[in-house]
Amino acid sequence: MHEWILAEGVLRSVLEVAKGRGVRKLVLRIGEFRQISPALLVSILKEISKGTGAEGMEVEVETARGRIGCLDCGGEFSFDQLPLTSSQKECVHFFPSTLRAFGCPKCGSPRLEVSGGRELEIKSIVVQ
Amino acid sequence: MSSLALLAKENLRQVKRVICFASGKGGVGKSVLCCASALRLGSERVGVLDLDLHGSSVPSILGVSGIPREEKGLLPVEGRGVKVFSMGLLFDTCPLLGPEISEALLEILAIVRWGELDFLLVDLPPGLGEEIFDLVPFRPKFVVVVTPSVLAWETARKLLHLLRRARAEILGVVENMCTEGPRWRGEVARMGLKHSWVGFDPQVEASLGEGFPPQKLSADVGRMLSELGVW
Repeated sequence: MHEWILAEGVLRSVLEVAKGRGVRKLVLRIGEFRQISPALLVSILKEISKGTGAEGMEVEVETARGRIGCLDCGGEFSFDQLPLTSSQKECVHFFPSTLRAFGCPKCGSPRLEVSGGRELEIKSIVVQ
Repeated sequence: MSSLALLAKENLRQVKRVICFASGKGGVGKSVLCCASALRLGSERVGVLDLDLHGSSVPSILGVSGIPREEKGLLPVEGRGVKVFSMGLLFDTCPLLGPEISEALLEILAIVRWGELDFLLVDLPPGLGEEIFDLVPFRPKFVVVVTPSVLAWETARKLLHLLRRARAEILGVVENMCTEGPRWRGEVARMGLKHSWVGFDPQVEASLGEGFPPQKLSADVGRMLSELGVW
């Protein structure tokens, strides 16, 4: 459950930013390559924030799309177009920066340009 | 600080000492010394983190295999009495570039859950790349590995200067694969650093895997750890 450890990291950041004030709303921006389940992430955040200044906060998750371009054949792909096996998808789930390791789906080149899709950002926090 | 950086910091808080094996050049035996050190320290709680993303060799040296298990993050595999994480356990090749290397490093530090350790030994890639300087904020100690070759020493000297400029803590310099005793002891002393050396052991290649480390290497590495003040 990768979402759990990411939720722990997000909560630490939120509480650090809130500096003891109660948190009312949190908006997260998560890259699609991370393959995070927003519903699961929200439910874990709600669970682990109990007893903290973020208990009961409203959580929204926005998905940031990414693009993959091949510097050799010029092909452009979305994440869904990559023919990744389930174990390869799992590798990218944990380490989205390694997407390039699987090469261009059209020509096999490792010279891929990957933009976006790897975000794990706190977009906004509303505190009391 | 980003969420991943906070997680990485929290993970490393459970580790008493982080020691990185670095070198200016490849082929000086950095990974071998890192793994042999881990096994010599085996009575302690030891982890080995292979950050040589392009040329990982820790699993082959230690004879450790398996896929890191998912449990609120990733658990390192265990074998030979040590915990091991290497991208080599997940990928055959991992062609990362520039900023992706820094990203991958932070992801690894954030997601791999070592638990409580006495030592985390980090095998770095050769050279003066991102991995080395991205680690400095986490306050590890560096062991710089050289050989008696002047080519290895020249690049190691540059690395030592850069580490000092980055205010990294340098544990010492180890001269590896010595056939006629150490060559750079005086130079290292002039830099005010600890020096140790390890003799050339022709049995290393044949021992890789379950037979690692051979006796002579193990004895020399024990002395090395003592001379560098690790023990």
